Amino acid sequence: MENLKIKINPDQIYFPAINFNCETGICEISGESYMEETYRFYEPVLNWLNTYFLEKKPIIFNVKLTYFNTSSSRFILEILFKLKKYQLEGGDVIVNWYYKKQDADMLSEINDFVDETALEINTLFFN
Amino acid sequence: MEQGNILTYEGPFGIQIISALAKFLRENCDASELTRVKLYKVFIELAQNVALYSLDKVKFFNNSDIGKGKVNVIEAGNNLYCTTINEIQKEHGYILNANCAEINKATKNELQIKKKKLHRLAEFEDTGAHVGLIMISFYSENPLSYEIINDKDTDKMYFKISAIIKKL
Repeated sequence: MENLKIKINPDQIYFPAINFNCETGICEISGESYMEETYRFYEPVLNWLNTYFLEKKPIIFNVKLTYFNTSSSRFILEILFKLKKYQLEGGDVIVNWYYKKQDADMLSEINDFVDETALEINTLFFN
Repeated sequence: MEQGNILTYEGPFGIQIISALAKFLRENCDASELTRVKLYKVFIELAQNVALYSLDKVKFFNNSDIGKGKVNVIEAGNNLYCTTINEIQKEHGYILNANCAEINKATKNELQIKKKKLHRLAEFEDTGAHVGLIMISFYSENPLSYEIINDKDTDKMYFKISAIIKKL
């Protein structure tokens, strides 16, 4: 399988950057997410994870999103559910979620994701 | 109370337009970083509601249908008001009224439960998670101000909603 890499286009900041590495297992999503037709963006992301999980390798999932809309949150939840399922099947999963210290709304969202998925998420401040 | 107009726009709510207007608000609103971030999030949620659910649509170059409407952001006293208006189907007026009333009377905990329930119900290819109004209420930390407008001259119905953000 190949790495999945999507860079941020400065004219389309509503698409996040994706940097999923199948060699190291370090996968990162960053930037903002509020595009139209959200499923078109997230479907290949979810498919990549499905394929990666078949290799039974560890994954470190880093979230560095500064904003995502409600439609995107549905797909982020889907990713987290997949990570939890992989963990329950014996997969080695670490999730790190970076947010700005003053962004209480983001922390509240992260806590909601933890409640919904029962996945442990490490919360860290942006540098 | 002193008022200042920050932004007014009327037309199609394509993603490029929403993104440019949101960036303008974030960079030019005279408020703290925390308040500007809240306004940014509220603006995008409200604007995307217009884009997705306005009955008045325009075809864009990529053949997608984009909703048309109006947005107005004003500063009054120590508050920012972000207001959108868009045409709706008449049968949706009652539903929107009920949804907003339910959000306004619910506690934060009740809204979180409702949000989780809606998340689970959302279809994979759904364009919205239908929790936008709840998120607007969370971000603004104020009750939603809303109105269903019946225009008797045109026989059209409109949904007007304002999020009020206290400047922090």
